[in-house]
Amino acid sequence: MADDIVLELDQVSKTFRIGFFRKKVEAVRSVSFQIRRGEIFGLVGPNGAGKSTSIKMITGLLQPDAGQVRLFQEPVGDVSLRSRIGYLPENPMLYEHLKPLEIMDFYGGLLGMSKKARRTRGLELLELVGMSHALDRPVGKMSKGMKQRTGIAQALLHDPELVILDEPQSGLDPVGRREIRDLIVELRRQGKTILFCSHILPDVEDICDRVALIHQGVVKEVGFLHELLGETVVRYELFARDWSDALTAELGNQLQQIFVLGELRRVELRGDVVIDDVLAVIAKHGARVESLQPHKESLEDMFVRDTRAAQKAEVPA
Amino acid sequence: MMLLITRQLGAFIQNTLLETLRNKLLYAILFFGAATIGATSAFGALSLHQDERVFNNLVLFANVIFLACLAIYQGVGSIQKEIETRTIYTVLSKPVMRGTFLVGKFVASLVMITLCLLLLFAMTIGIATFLDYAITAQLFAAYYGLFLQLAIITAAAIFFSSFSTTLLSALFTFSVFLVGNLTPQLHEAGAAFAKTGNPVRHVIDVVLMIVPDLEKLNLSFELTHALPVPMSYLLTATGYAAVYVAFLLGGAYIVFRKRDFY
Repeated sequence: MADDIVLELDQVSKTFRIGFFRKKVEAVRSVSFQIRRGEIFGLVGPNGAGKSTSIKMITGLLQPDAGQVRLFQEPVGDVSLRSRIGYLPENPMLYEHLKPLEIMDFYGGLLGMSKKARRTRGLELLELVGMSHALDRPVGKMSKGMKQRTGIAQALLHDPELVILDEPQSGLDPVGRREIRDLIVELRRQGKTILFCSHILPDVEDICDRVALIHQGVVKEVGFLHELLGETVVRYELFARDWSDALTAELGNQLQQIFVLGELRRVELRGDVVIDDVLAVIAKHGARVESLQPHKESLEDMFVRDTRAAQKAEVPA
Repeated sequence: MMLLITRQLGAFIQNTLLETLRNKLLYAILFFGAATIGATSAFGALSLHQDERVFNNLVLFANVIFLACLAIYQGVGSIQKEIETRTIYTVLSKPVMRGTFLVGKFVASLVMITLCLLLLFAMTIGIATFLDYAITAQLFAAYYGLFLQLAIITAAAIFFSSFSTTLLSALFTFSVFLVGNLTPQLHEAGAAFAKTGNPVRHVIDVVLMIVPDLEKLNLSFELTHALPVPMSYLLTATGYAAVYVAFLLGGAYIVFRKRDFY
């Protein structure tokens, strides 16, 4: 339903001019995707792919040269719509002289919140992102992770419907990354729509409903993760004992890699083998299979495949 | 809507004041300003029966220089720092109109500069009282004129910052301050060129038309010679400064409203 579309980019393009001779660089070319209410949408792509440029056009920091960005079915130029979005920029730079609660107070003022609401909500969010122990520390004396957490808190201050997070886990340790991932899932549980832009692909794969893969300013793939990744097994991984050279020779090119781990062998087989036939051959040679794990295509595999394909396509024959 | 804009302006002012209070550079500027006022009083004592006149004149001059530098630093920094440190990303992605952002930055900067002006003025009054000099209406009028000058300089700094780099914006604003205080000399030069038919006079005419006449807001002559400053003059000067500030901020808005932030 159209009402469910929270954000829509329709054939959006943006060109920058750089250098002394104002050389044209197409940062984003005819990008289109939609985000539906209540979903976590992942925007992935290599550095310089056009992710942050797309996000800046959504938040009104950049104006598209062509195409249209619509937020809640309205053109993005309407400033009042920004009271319904929360935005964490990549490597957020906050005012170095302010302390966390002062940051909340400042942004709360920009959002038109009352003094009391700024303080109550600010304290609540700083507690949520794990910053309540550093309320008297100015931003200038915070670690990168602490700045990131404070940045996330300011993005959620006004309880926005759409939360845009550009690399929210950047600079965080594994525990911090996990906490932010859990926070995003919790936000979705509260009914929020989330645009999640990250390089940490396992997390994107874990929590996103749909994903757009963007490369060199063009959307290469967009859709539900299960549709994009499919059910095809790309490789099998097995651990076996009593492995022999004769067995290796008989399996031939069905084998991708083999690693010696003491008496054990870790064996990687191609995804298109008939696994029952392979197991029969292994049994015939007297080897014992300890475990067998089929691997389907991960988001990381898709990411590497698509970006490499795009790079190859660029190289002239 | 008005409540939202009022709260946004309040946020900008509070943020600027907090930054000012925690900025060591500002304290250094104020310290040197105070030291200069103190040193100037010694110059007055060296003059022959003109100590009060010399004191008033030199202290006003020192305050003009310090506060004009502060207005350029603050006006340019208020926009450029937001862009360079990318804090503008989190500000303009909130429901803040770009016009409100510019006005907010101007008002916040002007509040900060006015507080510094009041501080230096209080020091001046304190030393004048200590030295048993008269506190005249002209003294208040002269400092009010300085306030109007600072408002125009701050608006000019914000105007140039809306499209230029920090260094260039500071240079352009300083040029406006310099040329704006040399308008009588430029008028004379224009008249001299006109007599000889030199086309440079057209350039001077254009400059005089564009650049604010800050000399008209400089009441040091009236202060020195204890000449009365009519209220109507102060009202006209206020209107003149307000119109200039509005033009400069309007120009800044025209540039800024379509500006991209990469």
